[in-house]
Amino acid sequence: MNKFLESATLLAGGALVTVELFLLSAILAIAMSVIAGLLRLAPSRIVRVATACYVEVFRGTSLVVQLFWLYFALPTLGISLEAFPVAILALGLCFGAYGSEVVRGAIRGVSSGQYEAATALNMGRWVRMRSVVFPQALALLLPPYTNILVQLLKSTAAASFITIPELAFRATSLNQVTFATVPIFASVLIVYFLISLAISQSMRILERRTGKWRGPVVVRAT
Amino acid sequence: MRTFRIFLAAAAICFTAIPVLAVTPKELQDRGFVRMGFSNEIPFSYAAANGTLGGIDYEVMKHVLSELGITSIDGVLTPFGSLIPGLKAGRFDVVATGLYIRPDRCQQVAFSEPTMVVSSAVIVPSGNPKKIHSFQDVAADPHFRLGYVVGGTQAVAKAGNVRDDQFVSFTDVLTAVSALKAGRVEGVLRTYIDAVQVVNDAGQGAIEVAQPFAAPVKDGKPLINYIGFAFRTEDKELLAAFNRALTKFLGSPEHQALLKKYQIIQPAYPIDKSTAELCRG
Amino acid sequence: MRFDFKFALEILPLLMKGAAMTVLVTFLAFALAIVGGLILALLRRAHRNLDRALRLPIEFIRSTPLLVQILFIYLGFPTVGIVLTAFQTGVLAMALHYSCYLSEIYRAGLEGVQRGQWDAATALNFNTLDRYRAIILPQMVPLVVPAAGNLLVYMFKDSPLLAAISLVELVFVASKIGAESFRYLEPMTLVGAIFLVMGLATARFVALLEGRLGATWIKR
Repeated sequence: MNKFLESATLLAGGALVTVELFLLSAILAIAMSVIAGLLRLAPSRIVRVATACYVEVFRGTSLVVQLFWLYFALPTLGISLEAFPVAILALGLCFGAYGSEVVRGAIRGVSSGQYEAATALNMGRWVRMRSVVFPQALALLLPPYTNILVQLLKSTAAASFITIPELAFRATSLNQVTFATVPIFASVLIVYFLISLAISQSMRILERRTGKWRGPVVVRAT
Repeated sequence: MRTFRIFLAAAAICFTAIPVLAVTPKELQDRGFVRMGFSNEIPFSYAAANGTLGGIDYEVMKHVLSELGITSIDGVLTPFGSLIPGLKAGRFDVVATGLYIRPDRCQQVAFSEPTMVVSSAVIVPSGNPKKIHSFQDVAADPHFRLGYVVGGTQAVAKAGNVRDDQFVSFTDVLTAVSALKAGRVEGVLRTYIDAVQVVNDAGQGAIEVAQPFAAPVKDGKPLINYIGFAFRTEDKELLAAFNRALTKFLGSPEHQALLKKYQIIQPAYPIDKSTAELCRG
Repeated sequence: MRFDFKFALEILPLLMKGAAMTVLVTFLAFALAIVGGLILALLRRAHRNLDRALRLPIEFIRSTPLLVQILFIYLGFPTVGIVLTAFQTGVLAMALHYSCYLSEIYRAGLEGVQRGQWDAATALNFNTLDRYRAIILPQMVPLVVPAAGNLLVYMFKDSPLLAAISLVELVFVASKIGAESFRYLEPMTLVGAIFLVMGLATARFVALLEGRLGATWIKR
């Protein structure tokens, strides 16, 4: 019983690190998604191309490769980061790139009439984006963004490659000591599942609250 | 545009880069703690499930550093293959994990004077079904797959004619051992004392150290390996101070007590070569 | 530290061998997932109870990390006597994981086929097998190809997770080179470049496929 409690505590600690990793990299990812998504529509061609490069590189290479590169190769160029910042950076930049495509699609999904109306009302480009277009885009991007966040959660497991003591790492370490492989990994999978459910639920609540921006009301047949 | 600039500034602040400068003993004393890179190599240095550090290398280092006025050691768990790169990158100040002093490693890092002499061993399934008693036996069996840890020393096995294609690499020793138990490899190459500990801790009765085992011989002399602590080549002052305190500690009653505590079975003394000699090859 | 081009060229052949393994595992897993996903999708359409029964396991596998699933199979199966090699584990785990994704893609595709087609098939007295084989599936394929192609690219990018069970694929080879030569910049950068190329090649291939199969595209 004692051993069980010890193991459970260890796994709980790992789950905490996973959630920490998730929240911090989600913040970076959301920031990068919005920034990169907006920059792709910038007037300056250089900005557009540079952003496109960032998005293509981070979408086109594997997260594990990005993790390894930032952890192993970057120090040889002089910049040495600790494992935890490396993981947040890699996860945030990678899913920021994926998210930026979702944001870009959502912004373009806002009907063009909104742009024209805003211009007619003498709103500048920035005010137009901030007050009119983006809130409506938010309603459009939340459902696909939920997917991205769940992917992000699953990818935190890759941080175990650089020995960050998150849930998957703890599971492997625990397994090497107790050999109770099936119970350990089964419970770990269940924990991940529960966390992903929490994420989807939260996003759904968010969707409902931003639903008022969903634009013109659907015509109902009477 | 303004948002972008703000973001750049924030990103720059978030970049917690560790400057790669030489570390002196005085700096460590001021700082109060030393960062030790390790990779769970029992019995050299490892972390128990609750995080407390242990191991013969760890404890020797603790004693020696306390002579230098440094009492706190921060363990940085790192994959074995990235210990030396991590040391060079400044992620930690010393590597204490049973590293063999090898000429190619000497080019990357500065080793302390040797602390132990060890020989190699092969872990096999219980009962030693393939009757392995030397590396030549391993080489003689064309289907024998020998597991080893990436970054580990294959030279000793190769001196016994084990072929390149017989080696199977693993990310760490416990993965290799579970592969052995599952029958994915026929043997695992380890340091002898490490092998004994791993069999005790993770064996579950399914594996054993191949005994008796004939040490490979090169130029008429048995091939053994010397273990040392690794420092950055720039940290010359630190290395010198460490070596001074180390030579005083080795062989002392406290040292003997530690060897007994970790059941270092084979005689680890006398150490007949200096690091300079070993680095020359 | 400068990028050592000579060293990079030296290690390229080794890396390409790893890349070959990456491609092999991914394609094999994809082939299995294509079939597996279709079976799952059809089962879910077959009967309401089957649909309900399959919903949770599919959602569970989709929402939990592939890495943990890989470790579960590699480390857990031997405890019940099934010992798989790293390669077998990799193919199985990836096929299982991505079958669940593909079942959703198939479901969307099947729903995308015009309602009328199903009715016409029934009216013309097609039995179930022929209905799917001759009418529904051929029309579903162009709807499914873009998403499935996307998934193949994802699978490539997930394949490095198999380094955790020491499968000698591209990233494992690169980290081995790094650990044994103490040079990480060249192998890791080359690996990134190889992945970019593989991703672009796959995307190009899928676009080609879309073009050729799109001839039977039916709009709503």
